Amino acid sequence: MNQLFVAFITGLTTGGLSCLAVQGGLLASSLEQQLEQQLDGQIEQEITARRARRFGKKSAQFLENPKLALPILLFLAAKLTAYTILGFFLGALGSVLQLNAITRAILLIGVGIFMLGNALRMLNVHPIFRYFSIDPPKFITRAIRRKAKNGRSFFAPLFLGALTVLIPCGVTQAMMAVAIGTGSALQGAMLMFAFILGTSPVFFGVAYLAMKVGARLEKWFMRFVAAVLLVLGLVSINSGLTLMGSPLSVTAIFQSVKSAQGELAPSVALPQSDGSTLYLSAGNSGYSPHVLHALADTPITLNLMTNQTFSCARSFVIPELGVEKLLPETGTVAISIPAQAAGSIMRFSCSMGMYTGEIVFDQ
Amino acid sequence: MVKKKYRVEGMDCSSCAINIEAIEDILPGIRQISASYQKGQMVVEFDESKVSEAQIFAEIKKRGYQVFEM
Repeated sequence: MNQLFVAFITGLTTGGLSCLAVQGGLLASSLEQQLEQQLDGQIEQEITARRARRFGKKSAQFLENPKLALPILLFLAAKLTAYTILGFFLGALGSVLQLNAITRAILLIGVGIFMLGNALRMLNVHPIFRYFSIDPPKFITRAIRRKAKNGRSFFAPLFLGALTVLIPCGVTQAMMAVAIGTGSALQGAMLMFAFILGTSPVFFGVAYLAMKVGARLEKWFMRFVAAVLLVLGLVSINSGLTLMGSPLSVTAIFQSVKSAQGELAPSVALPQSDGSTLYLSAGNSGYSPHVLHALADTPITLNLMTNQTFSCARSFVIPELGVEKLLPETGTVAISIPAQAAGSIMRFSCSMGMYTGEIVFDQ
Repeated sequence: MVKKKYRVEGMDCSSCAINIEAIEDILPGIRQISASYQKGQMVVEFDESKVSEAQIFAEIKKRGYQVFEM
């Protein structure tokens, strides 16, 4: 549920603008003629109505012509359907691939680098970053363009909306990678649905306004998108590093500072840990205690305890051992850890690398 | 029919390349335009007896891009 909300917000904040940059030209070229014709009609209607008022006649109804918005809405509805189906197949692909923590980490880092590259491209830092823009083959863009040029009916926006699936923008491509990561056809479909739904209001609003404001404002929009993309890219790389158990991630550094300041209250009353039997609370805000001390050269049992836990802390990962466990909402799960050398540190995290902690093996 | 390569400045994303390529549908005499956002270039195949280089340049400038001979 949380992931769907994040997907929706990502769509709402950055996806809409980023998609518009790639697909907006297509939408505009397909609808321009149609909209202009309707707009001309509306102006004529308005003039007639003014004249009518001047001569004391009953004024005509001409407030807002809903037909002006209809082609854009049709375009967006077709786009939403197409991407939901795409999400279904991506999720199904993910379930076949059975992504483990390391693959997910690599995927997250890859997506992060892709986002960073695209942000730097948008900011025109160097022409080399232009290679982060993945273009569809020429024959596809040509076919889409021809269709856009000839399309006069409502079939055109519907058809073109569905075809946008072939020219996803950078943020959408990143979201597609996340859809693979869900490992479930249904979740993949829901994720893409939430994301594209999020992009729709901005896409609609900007597409509607773009004809009036022109390219001047677009530059500022692109800078905003680039800044957000930069942050999201760094977050994604950081999550990937955490998931790999890297001590270099910002989360690991931040957590070690945070743990020195104070400990998160456990969500459940924990029994006293001894050197070989450890207890860890997986709560809605993370793991507690943040640092566990265990005996070196001794097999350890780690008991993970949950109590009404609904956050991603339930999805527990120890990258070093390849351990991945989905914990119950309430209950205890025991994990056996083989003997480790003195002084070694074993990091654990949730499957998205957001919540972390470590086990220190002492003499 | 001639085939010439030009440098194009002002492309912000790949849709700009699509936008430039759309000129082939507007000007008669152009067989094909292949624009590359990555390279900041375009290759135009056109019939000099039907369309001039100046006409192509004017159409590109109208869309907000600058074009230079290579």
